[in-house]
Amino acid sequence: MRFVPKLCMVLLNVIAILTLTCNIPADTRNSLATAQGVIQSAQSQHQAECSANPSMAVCTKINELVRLQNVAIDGLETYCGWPARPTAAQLAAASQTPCTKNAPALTILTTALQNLNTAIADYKGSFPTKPGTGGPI
Amino acid sequence: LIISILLYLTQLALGIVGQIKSLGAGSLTAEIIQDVEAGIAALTKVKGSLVTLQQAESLRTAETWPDGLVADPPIPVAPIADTSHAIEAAFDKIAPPTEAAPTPAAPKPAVVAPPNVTDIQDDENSTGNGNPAVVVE
Repeated sequence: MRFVPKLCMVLLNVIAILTLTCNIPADTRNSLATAQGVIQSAQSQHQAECSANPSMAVCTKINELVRLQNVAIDGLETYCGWPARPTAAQLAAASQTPCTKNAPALTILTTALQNLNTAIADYKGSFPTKPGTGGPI
Repeated sequence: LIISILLYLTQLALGIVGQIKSLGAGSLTAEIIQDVEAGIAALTKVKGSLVTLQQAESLRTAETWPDGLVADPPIPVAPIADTSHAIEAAFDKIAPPTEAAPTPAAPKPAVVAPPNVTDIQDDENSTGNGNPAVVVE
C-alpha cells in the first residue's frame, strides 16, 4: 500500500505529459494564428512603401516571415498527417479531418516554429512598431 | 520519505513540462504575443480545441508585394533601321536559280556474289581428318 502514492504521482506525471503533448497541434495553431496577425499587421503598416520599393530591408524581411509562416503550416500539416499544401480536392476531402499525430514529424514542426519565432523576434527587434501605426485591427 | 519522493517527482514533472514547452510551440506564443491586438484578432478565427486542415490552410499568408529580389536591368537595344526595302531589292537582284541537269547515276560497283556452297563431298576430296571437304565454285 505504501507504493500507492508514488504510483499515483507517476501516473499523474504521465497524464500531464500526455496532455501537454496532445496540445501541440492546438498550441501550434494558436502560435501560427498569432504570427499571421503579426505578419498581416506588418504588411498593412508597410504596404505603401513596399509596393513602391520592394527591395527595402523591411519589405524583404516581411516576405521572409510570410515564407516561414507557410513552411510552419506545412510542418503542422505533416505532423497531423494531412496533405501539405493540399489541392482543392484534397482540402475538400479532408477539411474537417482531425489531427492524427505523426510523431516523427515533430522535429520538422518544432524546427519550423523555432525558425519562425527567431525571424519574428528579429523583425520586431530590427523594425519596432511605431506607436499609432499599427495595422487595421 | 514519501514527502521527499513527492517533491522529487514534482520537480521532475516541472522540468519535463518546461522542456516540452521550450520545444517551440509554447515559447513562440509567448514571444510574439507582444502584438496583442493583431494576435487576438487572428486567434478568434481559430478558437476551439479541434485543429483541422481547413483551419491550418486559413492561416496561410500571401505576399502583398513582389519579392524584393533585384532584377537585372534591361539590356539597352539600339533602334533597328527599317531595311525591308533594301532586303527586297537585294532579293530582286538575285537571278532565279537554274534547274541543274540531272547528273547521271554513278555506275554501281559490280556485286561479287559470295561463293556458293554447292556440294559437300565426303569421298576423295575429304580432308582426311574425317570432315567432309567443301567445294566452292
